[in-house]
Amino acid sequence: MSAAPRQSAGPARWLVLGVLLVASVYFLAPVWWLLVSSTKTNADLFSGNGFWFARFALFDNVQQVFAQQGGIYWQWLANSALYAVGGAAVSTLIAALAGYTLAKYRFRGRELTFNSVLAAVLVPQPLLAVPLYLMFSQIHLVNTYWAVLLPSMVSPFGVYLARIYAGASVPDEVIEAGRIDGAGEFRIFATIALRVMSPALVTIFLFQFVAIWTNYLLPVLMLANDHLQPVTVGIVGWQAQRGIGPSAVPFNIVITAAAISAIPLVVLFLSLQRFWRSGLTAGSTK
Amino acid sequence: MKARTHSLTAAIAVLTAATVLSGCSSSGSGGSSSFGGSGSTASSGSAGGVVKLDFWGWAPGYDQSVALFNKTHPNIQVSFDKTASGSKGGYTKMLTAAKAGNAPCLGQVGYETLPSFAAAGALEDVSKYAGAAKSQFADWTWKQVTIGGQTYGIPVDTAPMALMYRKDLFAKYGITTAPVTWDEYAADAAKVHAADPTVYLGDLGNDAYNYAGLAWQAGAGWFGTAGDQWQVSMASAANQKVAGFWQGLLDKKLVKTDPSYDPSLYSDMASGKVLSDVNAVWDAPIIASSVKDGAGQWAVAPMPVWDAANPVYGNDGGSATAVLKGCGHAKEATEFATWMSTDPDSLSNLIKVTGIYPAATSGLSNPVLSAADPFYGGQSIFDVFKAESAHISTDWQWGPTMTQTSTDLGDGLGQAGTGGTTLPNMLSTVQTKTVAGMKQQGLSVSGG
Repeated sequence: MSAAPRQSAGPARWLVLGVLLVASVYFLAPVWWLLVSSTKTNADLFSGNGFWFARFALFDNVQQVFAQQGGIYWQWLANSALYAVGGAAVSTLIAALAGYTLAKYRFRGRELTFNSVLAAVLVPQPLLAVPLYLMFSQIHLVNTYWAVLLPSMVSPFGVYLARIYAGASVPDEVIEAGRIDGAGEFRIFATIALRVMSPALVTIFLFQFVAIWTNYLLPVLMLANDHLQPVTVGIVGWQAQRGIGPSAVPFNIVITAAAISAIPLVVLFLSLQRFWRSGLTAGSTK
Repeated sequence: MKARTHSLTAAIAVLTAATVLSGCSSSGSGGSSSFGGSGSTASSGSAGGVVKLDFWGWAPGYDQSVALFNKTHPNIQVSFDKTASGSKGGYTKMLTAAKAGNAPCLGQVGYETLPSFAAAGALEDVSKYAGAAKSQFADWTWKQVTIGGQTYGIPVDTAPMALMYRKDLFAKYGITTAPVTWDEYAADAAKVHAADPTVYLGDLGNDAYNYAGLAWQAGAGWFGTAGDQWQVSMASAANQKVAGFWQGLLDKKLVKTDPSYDPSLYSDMASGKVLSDVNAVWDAPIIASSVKDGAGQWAVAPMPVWDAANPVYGNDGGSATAVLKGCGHAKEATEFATWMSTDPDSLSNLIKVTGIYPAATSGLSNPVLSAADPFYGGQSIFDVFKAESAHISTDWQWGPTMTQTSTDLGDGLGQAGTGGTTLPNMLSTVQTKTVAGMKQQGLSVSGG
């Protein structure tokens, strides 16, 4: 097993290692700062080393976060979960259906449809927030859960990924065999294609979940009610109240709230990662 | 293969354009369709003689003033909806809603942003309803809500600037009284630096609005209107004077250049490396909550002035309750806005909960403002701001492109702080960019 060809430790290898090291420090340093800072009291945040611990006050901070403004942080987390889980689940299903259809059926306008979807991938989401608001206000959906949920249910990138993956991994022979055995088209999709495509679907779900969880502009525009907001808008609102007046939200609460809001993303990545990676490499061992 | 790539790219480009265009056209129909009109009446309709008004804002405590109003005014019922704060998306939301025709009647809008709202046609002219309230406010605050002769709302709060400083450390470096003039400030800065080169008298941060307050004080206006034309004068002689003063301090490394409101600044204040800050009334509690070390040793003195015989002060912040375009009940909306800014109970609530410094002259004597502040050594710090309020320079006007201008200025201040440019040069650059930005918006500008 150890006979696998191995490159000598030339300067190129050290260069690559160096670049990777710099990159990981660059990406991890803010996370480390957030973790360290969420354990500090408000006073300690401004004295001492920002990258090392002071008095440990994490549990105090967490307690304060969930007590601030009548415990509204729970509501924000629940809202974010609703938007992200609901939006990601539906958009994954739509992407699977659309991607499979585009990959496996020949029909007029197929390429045009796919190219339109591709074009939509190129349009940045924030650009669409204002037109969406104008449309939603015509049908009186602004300031409701639907205003954030509905736009989250489509993912052009998901459709693109699902088509590529379905085209490469669902063999036409299997679909043919299913048809000969008398299975309906939807049954073939649901029992065969969906399973083969599952690694891609996990990826789509993850991407969409992260995109919705971190979305800011859309809920800001659509909602004008503290109790409908997701956690991103909520935390920025607290940050804006920094220091001013007796309703001020201290920094330690804002920072701890930000740290807590990142936990679901980390958990999701870690729990789905195995599944995801095994899927990506599954084809290569054939 | 190559040809195919090209045609695909072209197809994508066309489709992208089509998607964007369809987005635009739907927005166009949003403004003109029948829904646009009915949306606004639905949000501010009257049923059974009761006028209902929507109010968008983000400041904590506004909802309690609204509740007080609703209790005493059965015929006008206001509902307060909390949005993201202005610069974090709240203003975009109001402008978008105004475009869709379903904006609320009332919005919390900062003075610096009102001209851009006016330029976007998002405000309702309420001059005929608001005129009666004018005498209850200082002249300069009324000017902040009046653009081109039209009044668009009622002032809520102001933000006079003062010098917050470490009294004990000032004494340690031989400064017995806080500097009264900017000349004394410069001399004190040199004195501190000579005693210990790692310690600085003050800080020049990268907050554009804080710098604007310094220019405001010197009567170094940035914007003006003449007829239908905007004028930009950020590179004027008066502005060069202010910029030159601070550049002189920067050149001799007599002031620190920590970013504004940054942990590094508070950390330097806590460790006695930065001894003071010239900032607005709302910064006093921020320093108190961010710099625990030295509590009780701080004090507030009037902002240093250019001419001790004729003191004039600056302002950094403040906001209005604006009446937004399409409001079907502008009269009632103005009535509410005036009440919120002048009623003693409402003001007590806003001072206590929101932390505003009132724009209404009667509000300056509110008993809540006479409390002694233990962080500032038991000083009644608002007395300082009250004395300044009557001497704020009256001719300051904001421009319609403050989002861009403040970003450019903030970048420029940061660069000047690290020696990348000088303040006078930086102002000329921002002036050029601002004029270009206004032209791009289709505004008529003179003096570019």
